[in-house]
Amino acid sequence: MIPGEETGASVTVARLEDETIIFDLKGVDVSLANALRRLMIADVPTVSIDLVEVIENSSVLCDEFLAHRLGLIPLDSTKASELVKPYEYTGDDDTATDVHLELNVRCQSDQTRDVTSDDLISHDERVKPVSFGGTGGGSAKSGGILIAKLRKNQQLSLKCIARKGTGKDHAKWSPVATAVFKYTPLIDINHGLLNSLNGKSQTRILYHNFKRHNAGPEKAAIVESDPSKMFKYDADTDTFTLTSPESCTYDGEVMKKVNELGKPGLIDVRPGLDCFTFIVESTGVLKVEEVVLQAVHILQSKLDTIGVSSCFDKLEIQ
Amino acid sequence: MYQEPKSSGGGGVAYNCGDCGSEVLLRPGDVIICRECGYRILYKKRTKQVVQFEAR
Repeated sequence: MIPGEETGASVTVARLEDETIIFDLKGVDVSLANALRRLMIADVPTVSIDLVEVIENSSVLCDEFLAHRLGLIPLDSTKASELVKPYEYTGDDDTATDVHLELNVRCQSDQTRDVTSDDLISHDERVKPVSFGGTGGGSAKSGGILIAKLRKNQQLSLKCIARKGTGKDHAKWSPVATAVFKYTPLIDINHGLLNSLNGKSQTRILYHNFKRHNAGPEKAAIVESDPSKMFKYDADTDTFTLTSPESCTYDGEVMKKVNELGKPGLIDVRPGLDCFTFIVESTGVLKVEEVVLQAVHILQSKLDTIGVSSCFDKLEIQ
Repeated sequence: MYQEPKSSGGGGVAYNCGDCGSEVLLRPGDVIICRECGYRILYKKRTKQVVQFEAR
């Protein structure tokens, strides 16, 4: 019996960007949340280069090395749903399993020629290396993924066969870079105790009377004691607020500080046992929401085969 | 069975000199030495056959 089965699970999307999704999954057991995480990593099918035929390789890199590098290049995998895995196909039609790509580069100039994933020519419009726009202002440059470097008159001529597969077979087929979850924190602030703390005005007295350099406002001290930076204190209005519960790391530092101040129970941070915050980042081969939805569908079909109904049958997405 | 292509019909197997890079034809029993520069390390040529690898 899966807890939450009677009520059904619910998903609340907190943030959705190009390649990142953050969502809360409520009303399920840890085992189910973990199953979903593992399915996203290892069971959502994608397309990547699986076989490499080397016609000419006069570069300094050996054939095996190049083949391995080519396999790790992320390819747009929206076509994966139309392809069949080679070991599940019994027919003679290669187009049902294979997509061909070619790499033909010869260095003509005296300068070193970079061979990147942009030099790969795909025979199928929909299966092509993922283009990377660079991180905004970050260190990563835009452009293709470097495969090899060639000196004058060195040449590469390769035929690649891309196939559908899953991450449990080889990590190159995994559609996600990050797929993690944690318990969503339940944070209680006791406002009665909070108001009994020293804010700004009373601290002045502390400053003058006792420890000139050490005694800061106690509310600000709580904010500073927290390495996961969940709270904010505004000295002008004397307001203490919870601003980012999602950054909680369950380090217990705030509770230690509160006890130190002689106010145990002022702040309580504990994990909510049936609510999970997921952070999933796609490698770019599939849309990140597509990865999550496919994982749910795969879980459902796996449960169907063993005849168990899951709480995802009545899943609500907000 | 696939056979490595013999260079210039029965003239032996072609190798590359490890020093000057020139081509050296060797027949069975020949001394392994480059005819251009006298270097004694010769390299076998890469196959002209297409080779296939698993990308993993």
